[in-house]
Amino acid sequence: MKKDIQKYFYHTRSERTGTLVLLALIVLSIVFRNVQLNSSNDFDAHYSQQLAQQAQSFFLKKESVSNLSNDDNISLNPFNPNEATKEELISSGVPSRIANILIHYREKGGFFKTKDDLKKIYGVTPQLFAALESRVVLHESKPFAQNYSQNYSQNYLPKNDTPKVRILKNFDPNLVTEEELLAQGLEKRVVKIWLNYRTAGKIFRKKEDVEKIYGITPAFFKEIENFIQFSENQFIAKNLENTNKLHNAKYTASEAIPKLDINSASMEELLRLHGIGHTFASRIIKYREDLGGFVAVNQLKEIENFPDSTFNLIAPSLLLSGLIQQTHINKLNITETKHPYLTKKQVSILQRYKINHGDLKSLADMSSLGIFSAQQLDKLKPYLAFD
Amino acid sequence: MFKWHTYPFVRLVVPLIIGIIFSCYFKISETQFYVFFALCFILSCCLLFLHFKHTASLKTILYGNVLSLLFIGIGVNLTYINDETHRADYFGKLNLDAPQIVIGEITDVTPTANNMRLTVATSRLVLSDSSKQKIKSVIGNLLIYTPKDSLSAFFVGQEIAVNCKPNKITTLHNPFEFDFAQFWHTKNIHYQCFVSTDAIKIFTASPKKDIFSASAALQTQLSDWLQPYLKTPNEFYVGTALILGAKNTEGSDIKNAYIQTGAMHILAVSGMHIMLLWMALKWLVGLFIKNKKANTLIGTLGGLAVIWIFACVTGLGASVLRATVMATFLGLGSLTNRKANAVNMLAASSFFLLVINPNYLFDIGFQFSYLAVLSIVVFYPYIFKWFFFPSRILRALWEITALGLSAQILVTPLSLLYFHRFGTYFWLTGLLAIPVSTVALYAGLLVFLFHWIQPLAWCAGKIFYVCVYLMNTIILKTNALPFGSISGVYLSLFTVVIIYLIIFFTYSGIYQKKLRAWNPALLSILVLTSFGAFKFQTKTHSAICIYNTPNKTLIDIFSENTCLTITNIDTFNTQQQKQLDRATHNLREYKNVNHFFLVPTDDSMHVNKIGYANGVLFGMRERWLLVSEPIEKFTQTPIENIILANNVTVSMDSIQKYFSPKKIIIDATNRTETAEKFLNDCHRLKIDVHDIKTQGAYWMDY
Repeated sequence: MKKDIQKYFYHTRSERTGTLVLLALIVLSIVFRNVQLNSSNDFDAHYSQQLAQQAQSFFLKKESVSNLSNDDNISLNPFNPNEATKEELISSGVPSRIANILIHYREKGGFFKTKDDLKKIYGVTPQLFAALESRVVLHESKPFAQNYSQNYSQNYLPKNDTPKVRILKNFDPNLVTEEELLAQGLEKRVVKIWLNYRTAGKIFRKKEDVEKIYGITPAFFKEIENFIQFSENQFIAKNLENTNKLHNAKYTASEAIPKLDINSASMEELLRLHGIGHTFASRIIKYREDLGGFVAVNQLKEIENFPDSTFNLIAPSLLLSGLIQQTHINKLNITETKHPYLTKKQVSILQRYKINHGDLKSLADMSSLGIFSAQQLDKLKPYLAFD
Repeated sequence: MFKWHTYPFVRLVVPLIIGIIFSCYFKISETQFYVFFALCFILSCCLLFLHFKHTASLKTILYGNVLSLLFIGIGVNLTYINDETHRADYFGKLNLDAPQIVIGEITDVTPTANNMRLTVATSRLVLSDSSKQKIKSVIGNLLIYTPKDSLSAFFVGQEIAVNCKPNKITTLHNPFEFDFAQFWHTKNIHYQCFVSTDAIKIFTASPKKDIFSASAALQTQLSDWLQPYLKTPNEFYVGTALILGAKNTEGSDIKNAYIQTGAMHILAVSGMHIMLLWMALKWLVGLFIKNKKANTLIGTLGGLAVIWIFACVTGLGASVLRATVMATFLGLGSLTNRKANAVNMLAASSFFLLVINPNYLFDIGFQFSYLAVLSIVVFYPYIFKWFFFPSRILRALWEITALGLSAQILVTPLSLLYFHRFGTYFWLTGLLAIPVSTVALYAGLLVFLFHWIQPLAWCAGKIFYVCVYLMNTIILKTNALPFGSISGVYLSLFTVVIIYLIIFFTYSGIYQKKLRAWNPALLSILVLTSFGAFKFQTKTHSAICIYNTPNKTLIDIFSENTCLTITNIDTFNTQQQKQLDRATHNLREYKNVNHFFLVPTDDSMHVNKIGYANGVLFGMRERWLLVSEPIEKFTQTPIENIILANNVTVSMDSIQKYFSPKKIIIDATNRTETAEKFLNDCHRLKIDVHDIKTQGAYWMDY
């Protein structure tokens, strides 16, 4: 052992000379590298100035920030952030996006007491602030409190554009005009809702119907309750008649339709059914596509918000054909599979199972996973293909 | 009899490597550097003194000692000098809180899956934090990721300006996860940024004209020449990688197949290519110059020039550099009629490369390249003697197989350390693919040579395509064979070192016939097996791991082969799913998990002894509580450990009072400030605490 160590450290004469030469070479290489690094680094000041300017103008164009202190070509105006309009702000070099934010800030009652307050505006970076700072002019004319209260009262206190004197007189809610309602002391917003209610074809049949309008408070309703009067009018009678007719027409139509196959029915055919509008027709079709076809009429009940009453109405007029698209259980894809009877969690577990154990072979395999109840499996059964 | 003076460089490279490793593991400071520098100076003086004085036997040994110490010092110093973060003008030392304009030169362009990755050597930084702009001269490399919509717009040598905010490259430190920060640190890159193409300004006016940009341009040019013959993407990828070392992302599947079958060395431009090129050049020169002296002189010098150009075109990877430097030494040696010792030459070339760039030591390509060649040099003669075939063809086939086998001996432990898998059919792919790849390489070179004579180039191109296609088919078919790879082998660095010790001592025991070597060999085997047994024992137990996924809670609890994942990651979002897989798959593979269950943090589940309900993780020896919203009522359930998540507002004192937890984990969903507050509270109350964000994932076996 000792001999080995001795042998390791023993160097022959030529080796000793060689290592010395090598050492000199290493030192030279280090010196050379440092010199080279330093020489490449003492750069041409003018050239780099040029590069920097090119780059800056390029980026500024991109950001639409058109100002930097050393840019003399564009003359920029001083501005007062408390008073300047959007155009003035933009001409002073504030990017339009930030000008919008600034104006919004003022509208909300914001006020710039010192120049540093500009920094509060979202989007004002330290660089932009540095560029803008010299051009901000703040007048000491209005004290802050006064300005604030003025701004606040302008924007937040209710404006007095509704007439102060309320003219209360009898009116028919089905016929009353916009002006009359405004005169009653209603807000514009509520009046609009009122009118919309009518244009949607709905009718005020009794006084309490008025209270249904969103925005009419119980207190207000009490005030106007006594002034509401219903006039026996032709218009209303006509309207009522119309709706009844429509109702009956639809009802009779659905009676006349021959039995419909829901697995192949088109949108138009579904619309002819009583109680089925565009929403439910499209929901039925979507559900059918997701399922791969219905195996029982009862499955319609599983559709979101599908009323039992409608189902009872249309069920007798429905047929079923056996066109069912089966889901290949071993080719499930978590992003594509949307089968309503399979949750994403179950799909992911099935996928993992497949990766670890290979293909699923039967329903028994699936039930052994413990993620499906017997009921679920029964429902799924007709839709599954094991191959 | 072993004589050290036949391997002079081995004795120099060993202390140099020790110095480099020392310097990297114990991150030396500036003062320490000067101490080492002074030490080196004193040692060199001693060396000179010892050299010129008469050398008695003691003094000669002293000389060796001084020399070893000196080279350790040189290793330390070189590493320190090479690290750009230590330089005064490193851009990372400036204030990088706000976006800055960085001006620099592109040194590398690599397409990744979704982005373009540019490596930029910065030269100037425009500081604009005050109203006046300032231009600073800086150095340092910066990685820039930009969306992949302008492939042709970037090339090496371009000067660009980027408006960005560089971030430090960090690692999440999940179990067995590849350490990207470390990977880039060894390439002298410490910062990265993600920018849109709008934030990059290209100064097209000044493309630099140096050797690197020229060779990068040549590479693109040559790959354009090959393009018409390689129409299919797999073949294009393999063809250009084989002959030009080109980096594309389209062929990641085929690349994986090459890695899995252990045939990556065919694809990576390496010693084999250099050797084949060298042989072809020698033969060509031999055709034209008959004079023996002129033949060797022109053949060697011309060959070296061509090889260096080839190396530059392929991007100067570590393995190519190794082969080229070795070829240069060999060539120059043969010119001066010197016999070369293979091991010494290997040591000399590594010494040379490490002096140029000490970080090569941590380059995976460098490590594999040297270990493979060392392995071949050491073991091939013995392995080849195992069988003797009278038939010439069989003998040649055995030669290739023996080469592959001998290379695997030293490469396997390292590849298990890095890739956790071992391709069992490496001998088959070697046997079939290497002859084909040889033909492919020559055909490809002919395409370049005959580029101006279309019909010949067309023929060569066809042959090239067929060869590459054949090679791909072989690899893909082999990859599809059953039992193709042993995966999920997770070794620690310690284990790998022990394995190398076993190989070394067994080798000297068997082939050098040293009886003494068996003692350490058996001892190492004992250590390895006992260590392995311990590991095996813990592997099957229940465990918990809290991963580090940015702004997400991700906890795995393990019991036997089951894994229950508690997370608020949206697994139906592909991006987040990927994040989850990346964090978890190594540990799951290590634990041999084959049943996965996923529970959202607000749900509950109970499977195979382990479970999660109302924030309590149970089934392990200790109970854990996930606190992600303020606790309304403290129950008296015994809870040993606590995980804090979602910046939860909870007082540490009450936690201490009601639970008195053994350990508190601060999850990655907490903000830095919140985490700091928790940390301070825990330190105050003397509770054991672990912050996921800063300390990485937490993993506990029971």
